[in-house]
Amino acid sequence: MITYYDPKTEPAVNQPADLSKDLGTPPSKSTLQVSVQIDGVDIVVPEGTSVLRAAAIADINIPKLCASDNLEAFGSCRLCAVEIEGMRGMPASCTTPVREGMKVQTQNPKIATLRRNVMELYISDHPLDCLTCPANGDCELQDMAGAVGLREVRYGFEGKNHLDGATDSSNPYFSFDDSKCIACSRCVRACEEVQGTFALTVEGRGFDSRISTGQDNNFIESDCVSCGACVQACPTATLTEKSVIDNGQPDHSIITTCAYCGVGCSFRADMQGDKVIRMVPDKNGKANQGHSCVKGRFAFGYATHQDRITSPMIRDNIEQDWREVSWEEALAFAAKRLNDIQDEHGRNSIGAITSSRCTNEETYLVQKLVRAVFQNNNVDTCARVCHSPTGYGLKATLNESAGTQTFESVMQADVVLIIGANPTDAHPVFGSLLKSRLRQGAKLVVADPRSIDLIDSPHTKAQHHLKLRPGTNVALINALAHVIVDEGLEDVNFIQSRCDDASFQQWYKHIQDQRHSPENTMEITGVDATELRAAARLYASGDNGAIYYGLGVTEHSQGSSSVMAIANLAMVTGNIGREGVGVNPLRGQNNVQGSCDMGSFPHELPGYRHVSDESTRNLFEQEWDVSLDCEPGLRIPNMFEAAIHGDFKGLYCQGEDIAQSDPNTQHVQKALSAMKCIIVQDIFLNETAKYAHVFLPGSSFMEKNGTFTNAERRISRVRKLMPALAGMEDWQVTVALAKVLGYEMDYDHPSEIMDEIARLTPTFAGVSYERLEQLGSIQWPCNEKTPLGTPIMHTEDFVGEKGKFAITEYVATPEKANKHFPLLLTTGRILSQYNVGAQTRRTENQVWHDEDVLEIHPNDAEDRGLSDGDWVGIASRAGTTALRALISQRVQPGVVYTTFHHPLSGANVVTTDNSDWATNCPEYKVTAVQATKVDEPSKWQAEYAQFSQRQAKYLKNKNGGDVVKT
Amino acid sequence: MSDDRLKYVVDMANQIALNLLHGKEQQQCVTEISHHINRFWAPSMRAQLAEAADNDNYQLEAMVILALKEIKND
Repeated sequence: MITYYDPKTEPAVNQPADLSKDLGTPPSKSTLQVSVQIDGVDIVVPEGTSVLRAAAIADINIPKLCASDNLEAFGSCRLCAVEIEGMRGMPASCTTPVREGMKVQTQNPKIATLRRNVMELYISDHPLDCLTCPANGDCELQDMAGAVGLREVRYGFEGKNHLDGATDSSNPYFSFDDSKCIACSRCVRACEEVQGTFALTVEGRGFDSRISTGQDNNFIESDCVSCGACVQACPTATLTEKSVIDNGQPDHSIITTCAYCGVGCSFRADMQGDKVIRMVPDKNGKANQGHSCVKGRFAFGYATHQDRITSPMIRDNIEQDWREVSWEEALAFAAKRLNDIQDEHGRNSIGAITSSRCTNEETYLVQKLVRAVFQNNNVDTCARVCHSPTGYGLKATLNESAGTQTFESVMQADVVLIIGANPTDAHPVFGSLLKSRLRQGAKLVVADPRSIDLIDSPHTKAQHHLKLRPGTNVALINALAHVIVDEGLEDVNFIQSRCDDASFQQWYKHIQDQRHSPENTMEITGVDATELRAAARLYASGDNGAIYYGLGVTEHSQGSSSVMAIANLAMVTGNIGREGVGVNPLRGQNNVQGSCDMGSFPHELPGYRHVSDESTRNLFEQEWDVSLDCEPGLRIPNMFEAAIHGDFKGLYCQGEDIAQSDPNTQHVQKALSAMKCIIVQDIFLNETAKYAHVFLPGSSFMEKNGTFTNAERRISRVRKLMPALAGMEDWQVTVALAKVLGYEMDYDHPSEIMDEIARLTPTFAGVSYERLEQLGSIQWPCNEKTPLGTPIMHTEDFVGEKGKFAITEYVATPEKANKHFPLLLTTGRILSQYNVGAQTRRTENQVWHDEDVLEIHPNDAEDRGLSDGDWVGIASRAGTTALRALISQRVQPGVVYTTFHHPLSGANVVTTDNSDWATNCPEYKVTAVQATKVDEPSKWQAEYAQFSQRQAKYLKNKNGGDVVKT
Repeated sequence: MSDDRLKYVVDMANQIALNLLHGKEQQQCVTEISHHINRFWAPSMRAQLAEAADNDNYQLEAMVILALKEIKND
């Protein structure tokens, strides 16, 4: 009897060697066990398991072509035929579920003949160019021909066939060679079941069946989102990565973690030597479960782009040529400047910014450098401008600054409420999982000023789209809570047992007030009261209600209030502490969660412990052998203000591009220009580096070891694929800078940094590289109590406490539309580009979005005489820029929308200094603007283009420029 | 010290007060404002707030004025 083990359903311990084996069909979720005998081997599997999968688990490998364990069984290729005692004919094992006592025979001469005959038919209409085929060595068709012992094709190759099928090379990353297609439909099903886009179909019938991109001519013009699921599914060379066609098959693979969004997908980097040939989503990756998006799957070429700077550079001032120097000289120059500034302007006159694009270990070291070496707490992170309200709001209510669930949890949700997030663009792999659940019947409510794809996608429709006015989230969420309380839909048991009674009573009294009713808030939000009431009832009455939110919640003057209001909503309905529910912040960048965990905020040491807490400080003081400041430091916007006023003079900025990403660009530029020493550590000369005096070349995620923590609190390994192009990994640079500043950081490997983090941080106490190797990934808290990590938070209590309701009164933003600025601009992201675009702009993703545009409603466009593609000037109280117009019904009248992926777009020239009351997270989502037809770039754009040209010249002269005083 | 600098911290403090003053007794509100500023503001910013409070050119919200007594200023 085989001891049954199914890697998809068992805990991740004692795993078998080959978890990547394709078991043919998805696992059954049944808890009932069934005994079967396959080729004389007894095996017990869950009821509903296919014969194909049961056999594969027993290491009996039945040939297959159309089956894959990430797709529902289809039964078209007939290659997996078997004989079953008591059944007539030879059923397909992929579509036949096991039943108690079943006896299966997978091998005998009759079956072998059938399989050979089937294979012969396939091969009779397939090019026999295996030796020159790009899939040679990685072709399931080839493997199966070998497995069934095909030796001849009796039909010949004359007559009607598909061998002259055309190749569609329109997609920049993969090609579709129709001549090699066996019409197994795996690509079509992957597009439907895995990605949920339904861009592909089988056109025609019988012999004429061909794969088609709907009614479009080719892939690039179709609905395809280039996620790569079809390429991965294809068992032949029909869909093949162009990088494989160009370079050949990889010779080894390394598992690592994607450096794009907060989903944190696990990837198998397929390599030839030091060269990455392709990135394939890791089917054992718990965040992505074998799926990917266009960025992680294909847009990795930036890491070796010609724009990479691989030597340190210095200069006296920013209107001077760069000078390439040794690491020693660059670090000595940087250290002297920082020391001189502190001598002249005081200890608090310098600081640092950590990056959510860097690893936990790198981020930890930067904050350690600031606290232990700079001797202040002036450290902040780019989470300041995205999810700092999440850190504040969830800590204040749920007592932990993190999301509560796994991504997989959404598969148990009955009602999903999405507020201010656009998962299919910004978190595409989670978006696909969500769509999969919606197709199973879960209900969807979307609160967003703009129509996002999820509202109306193939086979998924939102039950309610609450199209609120920008800046009115709190009023809307309060109204949802009011309905729940007003209509008695609260979960009394949960509130009584899990929540703080005093805070609940105070909140209950507050939220009951009629000013929060949908009827009374309609004037504020613009959302129909009846629809809002229906949405509230739907969320509250579903068995499992899950809330997902993004930057459309946090990047407001009331970002923190919105987060707390969301937590209130989850607690009052008891939607916390189990699968399928929860409060789920969709983090923007790959390591936003981690950078916050690592103590990047100026008021907190790692693990979200305040700097004023003496016992925590003592721990770090003993480990670091220094005394630490007990007062909070400056946040990024505070640093800018202090710089402009002469109090803040030096900045070490690792992996962030504040000149492009932060609001009110001209204000940021003024602040950067006022500093005496800006040290930028990055892989490219980014916009901030144009204001820098020291450039320390960074290492991409391919060039270093470390860990990222995704939006589920999942810590995953980043593994070094190739040597650091600049000779040093980012963590080594920080260690070296500390050393020249007189402080020894003694590490030989990032694993030792993680060991230190674990020693000092209770939520990370059980985390080590060794355990990560064992478990694959770990969701913190991971400690003695939870050695395998914590997939779902707050199952019993809220980190030892009761949940606290917070009063969240709606306070209108000071950013008001008026006759001078009658439109409200809101900003966001697009699928193909990422953040400031530094990475994706240096890839073929440019074909989808090579410039930022202004989406404007047809009515507003008509009022202004604007047509698609016209240049439109966008003026706000902060500044003016110009973009091309895209007339779109996605935005409501009075609202315009753009992205910020291109520096010269100047989207943040327009955004203002308004920020969240609690955290200073900028209010990117609400800017009052006027839009007018123009025929030239704005003054800022013209000046910045000239500035950038000068900076390019200074870079070009790096080996023979002006003499720099060192 | 420029006016802009003081206006910046005054605006921030007033915004905090506007968001914390609802549904609570006055003392709770005052305590929450001072706690927030003590917890999240650098000492230099707290000092600027104190300086602004002594200057008639800046309009601090009543609750912020009450909270000043509990805001650290060293």
